[in-house]
Amino acid sequence: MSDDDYLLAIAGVAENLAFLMPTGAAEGDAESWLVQVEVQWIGPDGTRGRIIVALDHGAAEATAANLLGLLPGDPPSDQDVNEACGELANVIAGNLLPVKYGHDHEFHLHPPQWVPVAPLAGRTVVRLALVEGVIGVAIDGDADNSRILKAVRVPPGQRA
Amino acid sequence: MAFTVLVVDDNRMMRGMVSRAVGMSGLSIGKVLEAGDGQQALVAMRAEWVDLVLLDINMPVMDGEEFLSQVRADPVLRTTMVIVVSTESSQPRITRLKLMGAGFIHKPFRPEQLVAAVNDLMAGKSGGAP
Repeated sequence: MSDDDYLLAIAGVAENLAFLMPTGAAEGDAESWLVQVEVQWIGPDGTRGRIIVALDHGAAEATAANLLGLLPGDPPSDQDVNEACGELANVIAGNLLPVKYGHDHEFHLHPPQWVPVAPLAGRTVVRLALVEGVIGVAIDGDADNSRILKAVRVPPGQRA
Repeated sequence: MAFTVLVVDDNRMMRGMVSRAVGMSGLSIGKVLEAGDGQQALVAMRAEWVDLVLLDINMPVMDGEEFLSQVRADPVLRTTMVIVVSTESSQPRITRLKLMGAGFIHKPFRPEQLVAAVNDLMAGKSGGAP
């Protein structure tokens, strides 16, 4: 899969869950995040990984305002922003895993954890531009997807 | 018939979103109750009649799959309509939930998808009802 596949999935969640307006891949590597949320996952045969979702000020506030149905000029509280970004990250993670690994595998998502803001790093990093701001996502998996795909391809009795 | 709906999700914003979608669905809704996990949901269902449960899967205390098992094992609650509303994309798990008689809607969803899922359940298209 390409970065475009990931961006499409993230844009779908941003648009349909948080009513944000995606405009395409964000240009440049500027990092001015307000909130970062980590969602860890466990997959088949103990494979594990994490997805970090970062939102800048505009994207984070708009997400909270839209999820709560706030009126313009009624700013969300810090707690609202954190909770909204947590849920957005959770749904983004749930929608990205099948993009990366397909629909045949079961994943357990841990509850979202708020992590200190830092430059995004990982095996794959994509940034989605929105009218409201930017969402960045770092995707890290256990030794890419080869172990997961192998875990499913090889019948249980024949696994090493 | 006006449905009493129970929205079960550990995130209060998502409960609010789902409740708003229920309101926009055009279904005849009498009352919308909320619960933060499966255990709270069972308590709510034993206190008040619920026609339709909209159920998240990944929740603390009692997750959606365990909740659904307990509902199906309860002689009073077992026929309650349950629609799973989740980011879940694993076909094996979705199949398992449908075999327990649940409908399924993928997050994020539109209100018309909720209507379609309710209609499917009422028409018995959800999968093997217990």
